[in-house]
Amino acid sequence: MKKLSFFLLSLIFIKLSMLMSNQYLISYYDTSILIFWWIGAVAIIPFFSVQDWKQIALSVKGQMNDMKTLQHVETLVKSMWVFIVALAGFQFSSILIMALADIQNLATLGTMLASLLLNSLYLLLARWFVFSPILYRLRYQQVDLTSK
Amino acid sequence: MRIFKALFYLFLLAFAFDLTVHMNGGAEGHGFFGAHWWNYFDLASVVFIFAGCLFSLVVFRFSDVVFALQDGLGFSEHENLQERGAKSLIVLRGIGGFVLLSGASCTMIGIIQAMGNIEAKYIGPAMALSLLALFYALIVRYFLIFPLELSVRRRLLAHQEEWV
Repeated sequence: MKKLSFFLLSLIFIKLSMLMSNQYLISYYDTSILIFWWIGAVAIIPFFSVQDWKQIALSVKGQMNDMKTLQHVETLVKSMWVFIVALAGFQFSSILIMALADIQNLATLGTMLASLLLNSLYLLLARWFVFSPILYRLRYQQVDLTSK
Repeated sequence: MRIFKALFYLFLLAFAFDLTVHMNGGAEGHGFFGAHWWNYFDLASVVFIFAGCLFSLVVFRFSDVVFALQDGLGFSEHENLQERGAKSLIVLRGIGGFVLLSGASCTMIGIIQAMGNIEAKYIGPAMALSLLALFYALIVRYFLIFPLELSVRRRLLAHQEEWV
């Protein structure tokens, strides 16, 4: 409950910061890039076994008490992140090629570059809100187990 | 004593920064770039970075964050440090990581905004403003969190040597 309230508070501060610079969250929504991310997320699933997913879920919940499994899960999450970065790189380069091949005027180039950077923004947000918390929690649990 | 030394170095750093700003414009408006102190302040970026700091409380327990800061500042007992030193290191590294991520995200948002309304006249100030968040994040990470991290590491090493 406390963690949820801190999460909401940090979201409120982000919203406040964006309002202070006259920006709206809706202008950072791009369906085409999100569809690409969803397809990427589905494509990750078969790379890991059912056992791996169960171990990841248990570790994220904090119910895993085995050091070796925790280290294994950390490696899995890191490899998942590498896969996502590769996917983002693929998308980034494909949009960049499209933007550079079809330069008509400065405004079009600006819009294309903005959607190119939107992809990087989603990547950063995924790292900030999903992967970093999981990785830090796993390391935290490992230290907890070592101290016990 | 160490805190006074750190404060002295921070003062020197601020002086060097002030000198750089003055040499590139400063209050008199001379120099190449016409830089001013107020070019380096943006409240929206500060709020965004604060949100990044606050997010670390979602991942780590509030008490652990307080202990990590205590360990970093040297206010904790030796026995306590041995127990929670490794945890404090992870917490400090985590806070630094979240601050950097929030700074990079805010910069990215600013650059996207600048690219969306691309015009030769406005692109420079918009890019400068967007880079401020990353600038603040780097200051917090490397001038506030990193020294604390180093302090915990140094104290842990000293403690281990005592044991050996």
